[in-house]
Order: sequence, then structure tokens, then C-alpha cells
Amino acid sequence: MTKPEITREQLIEMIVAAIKNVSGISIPPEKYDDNLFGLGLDSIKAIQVVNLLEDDLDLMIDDAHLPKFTSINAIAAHFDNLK
Amino acid sequence: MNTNQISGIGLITAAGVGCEENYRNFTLRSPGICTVTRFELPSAKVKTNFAGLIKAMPDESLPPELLPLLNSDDLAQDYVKAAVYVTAEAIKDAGAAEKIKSDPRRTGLIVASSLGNFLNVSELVKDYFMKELYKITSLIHGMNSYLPSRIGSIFGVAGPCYFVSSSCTSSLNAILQADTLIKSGIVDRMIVCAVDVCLETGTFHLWNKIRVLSHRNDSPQTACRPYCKTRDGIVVSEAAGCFVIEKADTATARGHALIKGIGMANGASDFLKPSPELLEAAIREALAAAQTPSDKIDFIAGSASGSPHCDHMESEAICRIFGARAGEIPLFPYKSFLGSTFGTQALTEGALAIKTMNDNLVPEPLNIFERDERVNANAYYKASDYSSYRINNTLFVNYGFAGNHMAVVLAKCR
Repeated sequence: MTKPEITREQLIEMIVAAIKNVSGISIPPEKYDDNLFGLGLDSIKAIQVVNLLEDDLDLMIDDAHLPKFTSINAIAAHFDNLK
Repeated sequence: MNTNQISGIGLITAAGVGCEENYRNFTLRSPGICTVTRFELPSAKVKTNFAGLIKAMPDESLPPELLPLLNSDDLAQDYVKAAVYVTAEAIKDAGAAEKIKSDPRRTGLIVASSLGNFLNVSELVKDYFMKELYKITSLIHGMNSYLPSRIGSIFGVAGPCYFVSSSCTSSLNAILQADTLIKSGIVDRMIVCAVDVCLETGTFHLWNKIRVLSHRNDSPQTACRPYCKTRDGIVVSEAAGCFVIEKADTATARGHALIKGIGMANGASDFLKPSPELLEAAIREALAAAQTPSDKIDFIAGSASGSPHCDHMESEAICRIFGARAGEIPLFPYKSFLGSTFGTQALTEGALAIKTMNDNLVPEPLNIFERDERVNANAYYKASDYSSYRINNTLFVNYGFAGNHMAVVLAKCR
């Protein structure tokens, strides 16, 4: 998986939109470090978010990374760390 | 209260058609998990290209005396044909045909399935929305009540006939209800049939997108690795099974196993993840219902599926209940051979667990390549250490999606 060619701000915007799309939950910036399950997502919605990100970013996300996707900033950091 | 016994067994899995072929291939360690060729793989990006698919069922594979009773719609659906095959095999094994015929209202039938007639529903959607065709039979055959009604009619059953679905525990739920109906006196025997023949391009794509499947495309037969540290997901596998259950003290056939006690605990705080506490509660309830103390359990058929996130939790529950004995009782997960057979598990895995018990033949662990330090129950034993072992009581554990946790204690028939 290669690093998506978008800025971190665009990536966060995309993640927030995906969460809103699948769950109806709007997450304000001060909660970008909060646990997604604590904000109302469950495992099915979390998978839907990841699937949407795969489609939007046109890449495949390895399932082994999913446990790290605990918050919006954690997801963004994962993509930031890609080469 | 009287104990009920399993008098007849019928079985179709990816490993074979009929009990004998399945038992033989289990002994040979020859599972039917392989690269998908029966249907086109999804054109979209998917990571898994293998599964357990039942073999095509030619009409000649069905008992000839039943063929005149089947209509063209029955013969066009493997979902129906698989159910007919296993039911016929189990009734013959139990020697129950004449008893059903002599008093049809004293026999009931439950069909269990996780996904039901999904292939039919899929065709219905394609016909209606893509081809603008509509067939009322598609609607009827898509109803969950269709198959129990049809199978009941084919085999002359006139007692209670209905459908049960509770994800991977569907067939154990059906066994629980069958056991209860017989004990209540409503019927003398129950036929519990389970069928999940449900994989095609669309459903397989969805299973990929749920992100629970193993990705070991280069080695399908070793992909399902319950309790192994290198496990990376489940392997979906079609199957059908059937048990004929009747009162042990009035059955004429020698039973395969006694149903001693069943426990269940439900809670779906998360649809995909089982609860260790509820699993422990279900196992404790099964032991209590069976009036079998944990030190009388000789073998545990585990429910672990190869899920990186769940398998160790089953081991933890077993360790809490069995204490030091958890390190001694062999723990074998039949999914390592069959894959995850949806709602049929208590019949398909159950048939193999009963065979294990009756043969006193503890299977060598399968697809264990590295120990998981979180699994402290006895999943890493050597079968040679149990060469003169006797299995009188088996604990069969069964959990799945939707918060279903169940367990049953099976005992050898005396």
C-alpha cells in the first residue's frame, strides 16, 4: 500500500465524511483523538468506513492494520507513515 | 426427565457427500477447501479467492425413490437438493422411515440456516431488477418457511415444521428446540436439517468486504488455522447436515450420541464479536443442564474459526471453567478441516465430533503452525499421547455473529 497523494487535511476530511456517511455521526475536530467506538461506531460501521476509504483512495488496506484505526487521527497517522 | 439421542446422521460438506466420504476424508485430512471455480470471482478488488463449496449435486445423487416426489424447481436448487439428500441419509441411518409413516404427526422437522435460500433471493433480485422478469416462485422459494414445508411434505412429516436462524448457532438452536419438543411430549422424534448453500459472486464479494476472511490464497487447505498464532481469518464453507433425534429409551436404532444438556447466552453488543463472559455462561449452563461436572468432560470440540481477534477468548473461557484440566482435555476445532459452515455447524462439526467420540480417536491438531501464547487450553496436544484414551463425554462449543453463544454436552450411548 502506498501513501495517498493528498494532504493530511484532505485525508481527515475524507475520513470524517466516510464516518458521517455510514453512521450519520458528525465528529468535530476536538474529538479527532477520541475512540471511534466511544463515539458510536460499531465493528460493522468501522468496516464500512474502511471500505469507503479504500474506494475513495483507490487502494487496498491490509486487515492487519485495522486494530490501529482507533481514532480519526490514528487512521490519518497510519496513512502518513506510509512510504 | 428422559434423555434424547441422535439416531441418524446425514452430511454434505466441501469434503464430501454423505457421512462415509466425510469421515474418510477427515481421516485422510483431505478437506475440500479450494480456489473458487464454480462461479466467477467478483470483478471488484477482493483479497480472498477460495472457499469450501459443496460439489454439484446431479439428480442421480438423490435416492431414486424420492425423485418422483421432487419437482423441477426442487431439482434446480442445490439448496433444496442438499437438504433432501442429508434428510434421506439421516432417516435411513435411524431406520425411522416406517415410524414417520405410521404416525406422521408424531414427527417434527426444523430447518436451520444462517443465510437461508440466499442464492434464490440473489436470482430473484437479478431477474427483477436487471432483466425485468418476475416469477412468483422466486418469492415463495425465498421464504424461510418454504424449505421446512417442502422437506416435511417430501418425507411425510406432519408434526411441527419450521425454520430457525441464529447465525452460526442456527443448528444447535434447532437441536435445543427439537430436544425440548420431544421432552415436552409434543412429538416422539424430530428431524433437524441444516443447509447453507449460499455462495456466488455477490455473496462472496460481500464476505470479502466484511473483512473476516483468511487471505491465504496460495494455500487454501491450510488457511483455516484456529488457535494458531499465524491465523488470519475464517474460511467460509457451504454445507448441509441432518440429525434424527428421538427418545433414547424408546429408540430402536442404536444411537450415535446422547444429548445431555444445552446452554445458551445471547447478547449482541457488537454483531461481529463474541463475548467471553457469555460464552463462559453458555458452557456452564450446558454442563449444569447435563448434570455433568467439568471433570467428566473428556474432549472439547472448540468453535474457534481462525479469527485473529476471537479464538484466544474461547480458550480463556475454557480455562476459567476447567482450571488445571483445561491443559489436559484435548481441544480440537473442526473448522480447521471444514471451514466455517455457517448455520450448519452443530450438525456438520457435530457429526465429526460424535465420530471422534465413538471411535475414541483424538484427531491430530490440524493447521497449527505456531503456538499462540494467549491460548492456554490444550489445543497443541499430540494425538499419540491419547492413543488409549476413552471419550465418554464431549463438550461441543458453538458461537458466532449476532451475539449467539451456545454449548452442548454429548455423551456416548451405552
